[in-house]
Amino acid sequence: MTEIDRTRTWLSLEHEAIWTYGLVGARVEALADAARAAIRSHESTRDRLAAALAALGGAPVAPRSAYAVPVPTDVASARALARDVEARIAAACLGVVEVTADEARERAVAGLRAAARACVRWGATPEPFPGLD
Amino acid sequence: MSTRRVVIAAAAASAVTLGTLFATDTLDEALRALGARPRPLPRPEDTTLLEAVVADQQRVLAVARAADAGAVVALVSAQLEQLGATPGSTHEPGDLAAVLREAADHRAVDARAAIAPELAVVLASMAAGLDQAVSLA
Repeated sequence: MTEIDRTRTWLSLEHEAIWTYGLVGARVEALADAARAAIRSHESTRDRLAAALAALGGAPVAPRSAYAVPVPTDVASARALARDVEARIAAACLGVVEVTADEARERAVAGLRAAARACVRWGATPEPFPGLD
Repeated sequence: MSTRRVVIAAAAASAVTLGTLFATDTLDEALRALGARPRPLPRPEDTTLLEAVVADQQRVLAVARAADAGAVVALVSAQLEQLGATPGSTHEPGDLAAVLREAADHRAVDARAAIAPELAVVLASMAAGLDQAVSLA
């Protein structure tokens, strides 16, 4: 896969994260503030990735109207949902790292680190190699 | 999605040798254990980079040991072992959280500097792991 393909994969997950945190905030009041902060962070990343993708000449990635994720019913299930999307973003970022250099790779590493920290904030156990199975 | 075994084996193979590990064939054995075939095509810059990474990781491990932070010791040891290095047993006083943050930043810079894509992936993932380890310090 090319840098464009992998950047599109990452961007599509940023869209999903924004939607997911909206769901989390709407369904679990106790996590509403954290969800709003996460949305702001992912919107910022989304905008940067969209600009990067355009600069590469890649087709934009539109958000879906909905995503097939389980509806959270409590704090635990909401945290699990957040961990899942952040872990998938981490893996996507590593995919970008693999095919890029310089600034693009640096951006992907920063995205990976942000996702890894978010995973822990949402309750994940730290691991030696986030993003790698 | 990349698998840890394949990517780490490829990264180690791309950097090839860590001094004594090479001399004792320990790295080759580690690669075979990971299912990879040793590839004697060193990239000098990556080899030097990996040597520095191992030395810095050993320092982080020493600070974690001194802080008696068992979970961090386990995580950093796992990173070292996956690189084919033997975790050290020394102790070094220090601010563990600060050392982890600094090491994470260094691994991120290392990832940008790596020539082999596989090594870049491993170093980036290590940076993220060290970021996560701050929560354990």
